[in-house]
Amino acid sequence: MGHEWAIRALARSVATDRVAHAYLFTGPHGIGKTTLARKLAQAWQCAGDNRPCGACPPCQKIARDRHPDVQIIEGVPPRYDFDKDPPPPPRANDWERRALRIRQIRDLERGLARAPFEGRWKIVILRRFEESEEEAANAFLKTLEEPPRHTRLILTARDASLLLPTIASRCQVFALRPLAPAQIERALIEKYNAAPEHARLLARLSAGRLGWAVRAHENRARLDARNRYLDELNVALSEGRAERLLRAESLAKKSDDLPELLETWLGWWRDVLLIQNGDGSRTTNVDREDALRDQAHRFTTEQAQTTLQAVRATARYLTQNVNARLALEVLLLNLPGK
Amino acid sequence: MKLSCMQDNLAKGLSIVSRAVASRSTLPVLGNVLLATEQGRLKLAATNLEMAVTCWIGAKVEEEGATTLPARVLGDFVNSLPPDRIEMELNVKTQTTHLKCARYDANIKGIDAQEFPIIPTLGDGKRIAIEPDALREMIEQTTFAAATDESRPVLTGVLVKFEKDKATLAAADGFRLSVRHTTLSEPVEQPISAIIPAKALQEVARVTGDQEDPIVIAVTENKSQVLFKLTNTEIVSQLIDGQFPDFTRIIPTSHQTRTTVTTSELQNAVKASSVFAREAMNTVRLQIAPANEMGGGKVTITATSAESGDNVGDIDATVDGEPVEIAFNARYLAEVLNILRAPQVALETASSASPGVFRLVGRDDFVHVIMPMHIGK
Repeated sequence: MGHEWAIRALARSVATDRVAHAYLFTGPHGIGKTTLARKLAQAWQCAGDNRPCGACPPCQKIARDRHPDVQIIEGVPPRYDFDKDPPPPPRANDWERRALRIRQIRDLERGLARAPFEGRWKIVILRRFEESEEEAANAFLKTLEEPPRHTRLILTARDASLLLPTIASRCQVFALRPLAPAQIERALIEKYNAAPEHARLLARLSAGRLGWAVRAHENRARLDARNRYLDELNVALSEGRAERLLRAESLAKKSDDLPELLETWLGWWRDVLLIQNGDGSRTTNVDREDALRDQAHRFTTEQAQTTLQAVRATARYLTQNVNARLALEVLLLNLPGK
Repeated sequence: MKLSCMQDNLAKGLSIVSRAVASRSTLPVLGNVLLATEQGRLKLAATNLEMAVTCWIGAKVEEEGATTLPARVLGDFVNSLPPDRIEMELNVKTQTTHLKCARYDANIKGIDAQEFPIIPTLGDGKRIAIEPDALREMIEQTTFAAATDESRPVLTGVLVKFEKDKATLAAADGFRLSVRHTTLSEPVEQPISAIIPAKALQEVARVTGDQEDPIVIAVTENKSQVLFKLTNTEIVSQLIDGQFPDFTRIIPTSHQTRTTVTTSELQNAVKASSVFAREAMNTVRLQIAPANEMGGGKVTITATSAESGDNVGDIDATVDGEPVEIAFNARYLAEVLNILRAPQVALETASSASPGVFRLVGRDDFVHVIMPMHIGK
């Protein structure tokens, strides 16, 4: 689904067997990098005629991450003990901090010294390589430049500029672009049985990331959280100073949710600005259009713009270890009022 | 799947395959043992993707089928059962296997056998037959010298070469080298050379205990796997990719002194010295003196520790050539003396800074080279 140009280029390389030894797929989380990597791995390992056929045993094993020669490697949580702890669970959200450690690269290299077990190739998909520690990335350079025979490497990352230049330059880069909202809407309705209204909202909220939209569709928690965040914002707008200070305190307690909260608020103010400037057709929060219009009238363009920038600045402060409560207090007090 | 087999057979089979079970893996099915009916027998298999062990045991099959069960749970349970007939029945829907033996019952939850990796079988590859005792001795005399640290994957393996009627195993870890040859009863048509992980070879040596027929070795066409076929067991190992160092260049071609000693005497003296060597980077010194008017040739083995003290041990030796003093790592000496299986051993040395070469007296099928340690004066 989507990324037709990348798929066409990769399909050509599979058909003609002119394959790079390492690929790098970049794009925002949930855009389909790992999905594409799995598809490519299927094409390489497929036993059928029309590669990837999706029906042969290798294809099916890869789809379920059960193929012995297709390994997906991801960072581990901080202070993870490789010898004692059980394998880490899948990450809870996109903001969870993890790091790819040098130990994982060493284990990987040991595995690559052996020939593939049942497939044609030993394929390694290294997800979110921007999370690798610097020494892990450096340790990986040698393997990345001259992988053992039988080896194919696929890296994914949010952006090539977040990697060491020495890593990016050793890979063939495919920068995946966001899909059109209409495309996501159609996919949600046709393939995932989403209600049209629901699909429309998710497609807008996803910012072109099909993976995000599908996960939000399958797990209501994300949408619920987003609604909660917007409610917080709307209530705060009608509150006085003392109440806002209390609200900042209670929000700051759930520090894990803050990046998502701020991103939701950022989207909201973007919509307000869009309506104020007469471009209401491109808003994201389509389910709350009344509230958006109301605020677009109530506040000036300048107010909306300042707030947007303040939200963005707060998000940046939080990554720079600023006290979350103080940052939120400042942000909330500066929100436009009645 | 419905079958019955004897408890002792199953316990033995499980202990053979259990060494290949991967306990910590991202693929949960690798922690399981495959159980499948095959031509009126029960096939047990386990793999950690580096090595796979398959074992067949006698069973009365009533209904064909296959499943995988957690190795630890199954192994521990079967070991605690009385030596009686075990009845097994798989519920395909729940992937639960019911075991019944005497008055014990158990239901073990498993994973679909489809998830289990496909274990390669003996294809059309070239086959070599070798006597089990000879193979086991060769493995024991080389694998201990392979590297255990993974920084150079090639050195964690053993080079196995077959050429005409000669088989060679060689292992090295950068500080020592062990090479062993043997003669094949049937010459091979084309030379074969492969690097087999030392762990897999040790496993082969372990299961050859009661093997009587020759072991068949096959290297698959694309040279990615090697298979050892025993009567009821097969071991498949991934080969290590890469180029093994040219070990013939490491073996010194000349020597100044050749010292022959009784293996057990040297073994004891090294053992005594290693008590003190432990705290001094494991260094033991060998002072080799040829026979003179004072008496016969001898080797003096010493170790000195700044903290706990020192010791001196003398053993008789036949020394040809110049006197020399050389130091070795006590552990390396102990390990090579341990696997010699010969009453006499010869040490060839050139100087205190060049490698020491251990050979068997009257035989030329074994060479062991140890790099010396620095002697500070």
